[in-house]
Amino acid sequence: MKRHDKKVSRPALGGLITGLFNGLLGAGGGMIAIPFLSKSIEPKKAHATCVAVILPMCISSALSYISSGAVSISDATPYIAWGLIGAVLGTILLRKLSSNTIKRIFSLFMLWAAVRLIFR
Amino acid sequence: MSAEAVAALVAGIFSAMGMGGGGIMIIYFSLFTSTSQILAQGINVLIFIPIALLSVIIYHIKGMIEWKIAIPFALFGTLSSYLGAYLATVTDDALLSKGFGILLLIMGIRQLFSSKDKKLPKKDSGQKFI
Repeated sequence: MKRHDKKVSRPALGGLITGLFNGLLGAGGGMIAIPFLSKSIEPKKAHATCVAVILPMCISSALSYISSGAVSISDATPYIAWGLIGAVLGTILLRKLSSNTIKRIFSLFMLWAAVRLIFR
Repeated sequence: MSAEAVAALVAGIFSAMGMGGGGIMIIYFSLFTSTSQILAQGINVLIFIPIALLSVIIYHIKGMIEWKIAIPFALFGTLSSYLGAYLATVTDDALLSKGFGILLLIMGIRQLFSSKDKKLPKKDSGQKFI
């Protein structure tokens, strides 16, 4: 029973904290989600799972951006085709690269995001 | 290929890898266009949706998504993001960004210099998804 509880509560706690940061800053939830997911999932699966986890959070922020009139779908359409080609390449790269390389690239992204946030 | 195509392509690659490709579009907008910050963020959020949808479908087919963890994580995350968005309206934005930035800085440095492999469930480590 206790083991089961632990299994359920850890993702829930990770989700709560990720969502809180994502809502507070409008983005960046993935940076928080990865360390949480990596506690119980190996690196490649953690990154794949992260995309699935951030998607609903992103949809809810997109809805609030659209309803506030900050952006419309037509603003985004010129980028979507290239973005989708990138997505296919990204899923291939994630599978091909070693877990260690993925960890290194991700930590560089974290540092870059940190610098941007501190000096924005 | 135009700068906008390259930016969207690279953003797609990193977004699909769960690396936070959003920053790439923001940089493109600030370097090459006069798009406002809020519009840039809005476009960024919007283009992530089809990119993430396609990636999730591909990863699901390859068996790379741990749904048992993803579902409660996403559910609680989506709920608390509303709380976060509300808190953002009542707290100091600049202080918040700096605090989060420092947290990421520490986490990033730790991760960059961390030992090669952490203890993980054996059956999962070294698995290939081709």
